[in-house]
Amino acid sequence: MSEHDIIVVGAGLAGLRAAIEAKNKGGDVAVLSKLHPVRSHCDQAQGGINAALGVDDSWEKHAFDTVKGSDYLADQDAAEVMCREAPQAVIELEHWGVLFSRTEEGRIAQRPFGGAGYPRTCYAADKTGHVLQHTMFEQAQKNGVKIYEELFATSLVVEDNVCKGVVAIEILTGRVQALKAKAVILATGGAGQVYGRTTNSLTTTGDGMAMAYRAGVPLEDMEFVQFHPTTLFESNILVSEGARGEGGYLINAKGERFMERYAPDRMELAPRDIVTRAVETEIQEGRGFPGGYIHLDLRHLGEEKINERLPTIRELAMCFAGIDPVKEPIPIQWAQHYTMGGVPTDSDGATPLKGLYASGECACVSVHGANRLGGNSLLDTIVFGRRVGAKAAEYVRETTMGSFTDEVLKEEENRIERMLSKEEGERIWVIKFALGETMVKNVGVFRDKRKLERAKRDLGKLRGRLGTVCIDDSSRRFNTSLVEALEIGFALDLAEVIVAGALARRESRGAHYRVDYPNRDDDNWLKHTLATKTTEGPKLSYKPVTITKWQPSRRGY
Amino acid sequence: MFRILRFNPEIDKKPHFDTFKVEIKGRMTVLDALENIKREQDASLTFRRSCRSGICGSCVMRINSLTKLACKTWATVEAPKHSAILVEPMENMPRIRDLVVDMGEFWREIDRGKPWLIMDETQAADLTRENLLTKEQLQVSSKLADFIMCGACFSDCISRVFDKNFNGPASLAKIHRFVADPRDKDPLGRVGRLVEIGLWSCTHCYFCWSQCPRDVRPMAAISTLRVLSVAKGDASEGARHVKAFMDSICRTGLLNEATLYLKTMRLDVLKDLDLMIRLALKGKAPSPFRLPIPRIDEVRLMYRLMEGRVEK
Amino acid sequence: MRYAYYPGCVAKGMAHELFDSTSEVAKRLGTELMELTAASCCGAGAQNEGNPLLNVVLNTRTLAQAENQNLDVLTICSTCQGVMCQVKKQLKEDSRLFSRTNEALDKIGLQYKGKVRVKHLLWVLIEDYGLKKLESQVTKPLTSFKVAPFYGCYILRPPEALEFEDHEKPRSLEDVIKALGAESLHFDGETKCCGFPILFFQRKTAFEMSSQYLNNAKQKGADFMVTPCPLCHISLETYQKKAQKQARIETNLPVVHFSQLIGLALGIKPEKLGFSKHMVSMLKVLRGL
Repeated sequence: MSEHDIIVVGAGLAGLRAAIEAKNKGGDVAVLSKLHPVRSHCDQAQGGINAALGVDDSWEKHAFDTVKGSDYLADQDAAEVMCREAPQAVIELEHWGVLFSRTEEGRIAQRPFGGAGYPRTCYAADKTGHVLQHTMFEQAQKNGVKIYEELFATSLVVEDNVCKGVVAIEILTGRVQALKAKAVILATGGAGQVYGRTTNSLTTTGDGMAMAYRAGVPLEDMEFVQFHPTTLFESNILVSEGARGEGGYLINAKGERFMERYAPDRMELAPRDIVTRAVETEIQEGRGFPGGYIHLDLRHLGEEKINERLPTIRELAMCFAGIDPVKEPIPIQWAQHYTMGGVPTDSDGATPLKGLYASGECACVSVHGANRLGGNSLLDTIVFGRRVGAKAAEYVRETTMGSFTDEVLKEEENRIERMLSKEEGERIWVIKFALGETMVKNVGVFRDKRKLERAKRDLGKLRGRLGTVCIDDSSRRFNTSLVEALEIGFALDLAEVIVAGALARRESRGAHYRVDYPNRDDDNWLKHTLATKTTEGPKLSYKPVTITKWQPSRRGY
Repeated sequence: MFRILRFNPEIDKKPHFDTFKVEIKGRMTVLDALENIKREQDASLTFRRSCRSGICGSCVMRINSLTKLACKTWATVEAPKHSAILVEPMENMPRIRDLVVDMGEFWREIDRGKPWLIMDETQAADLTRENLLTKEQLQVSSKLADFIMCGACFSDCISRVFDKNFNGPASLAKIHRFVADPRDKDPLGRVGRLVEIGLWSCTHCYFCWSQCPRDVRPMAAISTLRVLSVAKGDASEGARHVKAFMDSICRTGLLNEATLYLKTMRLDVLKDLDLMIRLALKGKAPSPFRLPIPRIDEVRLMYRLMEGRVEK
Repeated sequence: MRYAYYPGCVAKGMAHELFDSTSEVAKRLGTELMELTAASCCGAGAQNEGNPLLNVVLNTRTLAQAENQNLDVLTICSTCQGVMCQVKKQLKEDSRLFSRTNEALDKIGLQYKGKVRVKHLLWVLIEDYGLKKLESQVTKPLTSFKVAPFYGCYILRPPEALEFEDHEKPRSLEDVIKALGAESLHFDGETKCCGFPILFFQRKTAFEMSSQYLNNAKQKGADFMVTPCPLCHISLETYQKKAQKQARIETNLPVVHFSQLIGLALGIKPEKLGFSKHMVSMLKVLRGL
């Protein structure tokens, strides 16, 4: 059984940032990732990272925009921390070599983004995530951070209410391993693959959130799922908000710039939840194109600007939709994009379970509340990644390594063996498709009791069917079917939590919109949902929102 | 039709091909087809994939004998090339299972190049302001930062097949990304270390250029690094070769094979003594005396004008 | 058909048999070759690694000279072809480079307009002359021969610069070989690298490359190999015996220049095509003709 003081699960931005910080603070840290670090989903982020660098801007304004954007569900102290540390976090990245786009004067360029009162999104053309992820990996290598790649963590080891380590499968050999740790930091990203229409990569299956949930840690605000308004029709590949930030228009089948009806001031740059609902409304009311999409028009920006600021989008549109945005508008539709909810943490990444920390998309601090502003996710990973790394390093200095028996290993080994040896049954992908479909249909942009209950029933049936699944590949060597089967198990757990929270929350706030309860209800619902696993399904409780400076008010754009 | 190389060391003694029939619809990519095969025909078909949008680099494999990203390769484009679309794992890396290879060698080569910004630590710790840099200053690095470390160039690199000391196109391109970045504090040191990692092993086959799914053009980076290395006083045979070429063209406007050969190989020409004799007997031996072309002064003027104009 | 002829340095030096056979073939096909005697060496990729700007300027000088005569450039060397196409592409994409280059050329009374095309004899035969017409000119069809076409690198890649055919599955040599009556083989390595660019300083690697591909062709039953590049010819043919020895693979496969292949089929006397200059004997092939 190997051991490290700190184990980070996930090698995306938050995970690597935490590991670098912990190592620099003298910690013995190792990162586990089911992929090679540069394959992490962060690599796909396009738009940018927010920071109040401008002379006329301030972190307070940024924090306010964040809080308002969250539909007042964000914990304001956490939002303040994130926005206050943003400028230094971005400058540090620049020093590390991130290739930000520049102004004429050579400063880090910033573009306007949805819901921001000031252009504060720093960007690297439209491949910001890619550049950040690679730079972070470079720094991890420079600092000698130990990374176990293709080691898939499948459960947390928790005894006496303390997290003592993880159990993981070595994908190459199928061998089950247990790793002891004084502190485990979850940085496994979001859960997009719960939905059949998502911008997230095929490996974004919410592993860490589900592991924490199974270990008895409640999950917070899972019903708040962000749907991105502009993804390529059919493939659902992300078309960054940056395209609208640079001046792109959203046009319906009648040729109208319809955002005028929904957000007359900000138009296309209203926050995502508002834009998404606008897009879906247009389609539902018959003003979309056959098949269910509308147009994102970039033609008026001109070839030069598109090539300079949005080259990735141009290439993606040409490759995956057969459209050159210089000449034609891009067909787009909404898709799941981000998970606002996650493992509850404080501003230092500590979860309610001793020894367990979380950071990045899989955590819920909560800075994004009911709706996340574009550009704040990358920021979240860097700021809180650093904080959790520092905190964990401090924590392990004052803690002794726990121990546990081989029992957990044997249990997991048996589970895997059972899964592999099953000779007949349903295929994983059938379950996955069914899950994805019901979530898109019933737990999407516009929700109501009827649809949510249907989803609950569907999920119940799927849970039964999951037990009968046959992997049909009994080899231990690099068994991707086994990995997928384990991932779908995580996804199903999270889907149940999302549905439970959505059913219970009888109001509309941010990305959670109930057609039967279309208004925001601060009196009854200005609170965070907590879902704890029980044998009867998720059990809900609530906790208050931390309010420091800004009293909730009407959210108009 | 897809012909896919299969190999699971747990059960197979050696690799073999399996054929699968898939109905190609619309914009179906090779990755879509593989997923389809895995779902409907053979769940044991093994391959890596994640983003399905051409940016993570996981699904790289050989399709019709050249390395590409499966998610960005269209079945309709590949199908007419052969009776069956040939799908094999990457070359130059040991096989793990089916289309999955062990990229350890690739990552080790990347590591050899110190692939991170070498900073002045005190400067880096001052977080009051960013380094002021213009778009032009960062242009080269920004283009090189497009790369996704998929390994396609490494897989198709011919030199790498025969020369395991060759650092490889991806790593050299990554090194150039730092050499060209004004913030890097050790460009000269980096350039100085290139010869020992095989800077001169690249054989100009241009496969890394044609196969890069992000159009990073590693060979162009290698050429630029060679320019910098020569300018820095590189004394290796490769550098001598370049200098001999330049010299010959400046003097006569032409390539003088004999002097090029002598200047590059020096005493090593003795290895080819037998060949030289045979060539001479056949009247094929290149003369060391070649008359300059007409209007050679034009060529020499261009040399003088362009001297010393070397950019990173 | 008239062209500004750019034979390249090696065709006029070590591989003179290429120059000679091309003259014969051009005469027979009624193609006028106006040699650009004042054009400088293309640099073969090495000049680009000494001074890239100079490389562009000197090659553009060649292009401008052809433009002045209102003729397209005809090459007989893949490397020259590739280098010039790359330079053309760079000038097309980079307007700053274009003006800097013309600024320099101005000093010697030349200007590049970007109109001239550069074509290898292989392309000229297919596009301008026509394969059907070529077929009709064949007096000695090479029917009993299996020919292995070696494309190499510079005439195919980078694809956006060369723009003539699909670099993954090229057909030009195959089509010509068939038009001449012979059977064209496919073998692993036909679009790979002969190793010439590193022949003089990474010999071991270059020898292993060329030996392997020659052997692959031989295993497929090739009677001889054809290449459109005299630099490939040096590596594959001139150095073949040395390479064989080092790599310990016995090949003894004759390699002909592209023009020699045409010449044979057109019935031009073998003595005029320069086979005596080859290291690997063509006797067996010539007897079989």
